[in-house]
Amino acid sequence: MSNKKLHICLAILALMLSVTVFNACKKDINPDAYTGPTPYLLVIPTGLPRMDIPANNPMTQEGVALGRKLFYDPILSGNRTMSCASCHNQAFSFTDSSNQYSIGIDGLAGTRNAMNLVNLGYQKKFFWDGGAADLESQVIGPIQNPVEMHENLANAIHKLNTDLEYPTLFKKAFGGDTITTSMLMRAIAQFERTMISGNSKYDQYVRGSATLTAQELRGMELYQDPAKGDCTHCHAMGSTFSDFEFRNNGVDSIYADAGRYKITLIGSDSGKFKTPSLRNIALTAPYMHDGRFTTLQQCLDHYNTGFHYSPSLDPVLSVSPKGRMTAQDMTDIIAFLHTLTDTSFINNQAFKHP
Amino acid sequence: MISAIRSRFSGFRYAGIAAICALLVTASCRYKDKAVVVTPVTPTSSYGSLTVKFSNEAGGTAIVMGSGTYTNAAGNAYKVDLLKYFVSNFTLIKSDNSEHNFANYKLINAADTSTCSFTLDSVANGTYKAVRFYIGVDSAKNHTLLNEGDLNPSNGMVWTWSTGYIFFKHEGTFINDTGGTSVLLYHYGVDANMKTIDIPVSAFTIAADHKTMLLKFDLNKQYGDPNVITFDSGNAVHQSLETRDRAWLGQMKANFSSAFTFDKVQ
Ligand code: HEC
Ligand code: HEC
Repeated sequence: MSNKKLHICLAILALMLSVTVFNACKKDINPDAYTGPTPYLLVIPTGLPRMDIPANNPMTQEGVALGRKLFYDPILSGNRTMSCASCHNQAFSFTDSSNQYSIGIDGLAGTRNAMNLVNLGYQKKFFWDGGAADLESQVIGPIQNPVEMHENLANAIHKLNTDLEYPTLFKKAFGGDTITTSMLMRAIAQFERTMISGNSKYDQYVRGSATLTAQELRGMELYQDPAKGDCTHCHAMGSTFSDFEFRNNGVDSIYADAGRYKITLIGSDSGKFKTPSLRNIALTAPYMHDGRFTTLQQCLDHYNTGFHYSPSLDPVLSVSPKGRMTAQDMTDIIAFLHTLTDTSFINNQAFKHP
Repeated sequence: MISAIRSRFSGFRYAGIAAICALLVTASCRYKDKAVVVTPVTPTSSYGSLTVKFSNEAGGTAIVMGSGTYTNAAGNAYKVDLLKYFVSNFTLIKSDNSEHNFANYKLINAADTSTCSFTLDSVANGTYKAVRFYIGVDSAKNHTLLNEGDLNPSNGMVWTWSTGYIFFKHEGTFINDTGGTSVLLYHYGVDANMKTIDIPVSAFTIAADHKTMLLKFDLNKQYGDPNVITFDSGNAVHQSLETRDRAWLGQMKANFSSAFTFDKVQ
């Protein structure tokens, strides 16, 4: 090796050494650098639209797993006896079995029927009246509601921060040493966005892997027929089976529950409720915001003859003649509604108690 | 052989350079470590700072939580168990009318004086003649609860059934018409009710120094100036989101202007 080359080599060595020292010192400033969670790849079944994930809550595997654990954990309730799953049971498409009104931790009942938690990621507003402006903000409702989990939010966060497992799990999902309220909201919303149903008999039929019976096909026609069911007008045919708009479908003309008006305080919103998805509808009885109907037949009777006229009744119904459906028409529509049941959704391991 | 020795020597020389380099870098990094600990000093030439302090009173005397009894303009005797409100987008207005909005969200909790003030850093040197702030939270932040700091929803200033912040919250009791004690509750909020407060102040100058501005909030004026609000046992629970009896909202909104006043700058 020539002298000159040796000099260059040594010079490079000197440089490398100082760089190493410099790097070591950089690590000193930021001791346990957070590498970030693993992105969660959402699989959307054919037939359902792309889901917009909010920029302030990207989905990660750690976040979804944490949200699932929290959804099933009674730690979020005042006396550690009730979780989200207490009222949102997977077997009933995440509704509360046959309860018209769910009972909270103090034995008190609410005034509305627990909602079907399916394809929530496609919706913009939550609760029957749309009071929750996004899925994340919805989370604090049931935790604090005195007739539900009845817990002080600050206390719930304190319990999580002093728990043995949660601080590590939250750190993995969101970084940071302290659990904050927004992390809790984000985690549960991430899990909820994975609760996608798109594998019912109807979906399989659309994809060509199942056939519908003659009756189910008749029901599908009547569902869309403007002179018969015309259900599609509001519970839009296919995909999410609703446009999620707020409407008065005539359940009352004098409102015990003012619905959307409670949120907007606009008079014409009285008696309007969110048009719910009809996916898994055969599993979610009782029906309507107050769970007044116990069977789908009662729902059909309502749309055929039972609806009440009032100024805010949806225009589609106010011009629909009463008695336009025969008993057979209604039976056929009900048969079609049963094809919207997705057993792979209610048995999906990924949604079960972890 | 000689050249080999020479190069071995120069080898040491390079090791020496490496060591010095390393030392220099470590030293500079140690200096950096220190710089992280030391609070940053704003350039003393063109900026100063201002602490804004709110004192919460009723009829001119400081509110004593839980025990103090006060009488509103309508003659109702009342107590205060809780008094909290959001002050946001605090703005300083110079004598040349130029404005600086500090884009802050401050939750004042009258029960805890440590929450009743905030300090604005980087206040440009100059003479100021007025302040503006808002009671409430602007719509950009009021339609999601995914906010941190004073807007953290765990601070007890949100509704649970409808997304949004309670801008102003007074809870307590009052003596009702039959002489008994009734619960008193004012939860004020919703976009349309956000209130702009413009207050002229006696002109003060910031010249690379720190000053403190004292502002006052008076609960009696809030219920009496100019709109007299009567506490009545049939109607003592007031939620902005209640569908009935909404007149109090407009009255409260107007009264905020007189309830907040300038005291002094020192
Ligand atoms: C005591 C029963 C109960 C518990 C516990 C409960 N919920 Fe609910 N849930 C309901 C009821 C009732 C509604 C409808 C409320 C309304 O419209 O006012 C609802 C509505 C919802 C909605 C709105 C769905 C839609 O389509 O708009 C979501 C999302 C939801 N709950 C998630 C949760 C989560 C997350 C938890 C746990 C943090 C939880 N729930 C705990 C009963 C419950
Ligand atoms: C004008 C719009 C509109 C039309 C048309 C309509 N619905 Fe509805 N539907 C709604 C709204 C709004 C609700 C929620 C009402 C409430 O909760 O009080 C609802 C609720 C339901 C429910 C209860 C869902 C649940 O989760 O509790 C069923 C079942 C239902 N509709 C079936 C049908 C069928 C079948 C048809 C056609 C025969 C139909 N709807 C036509 C708007 C409509």
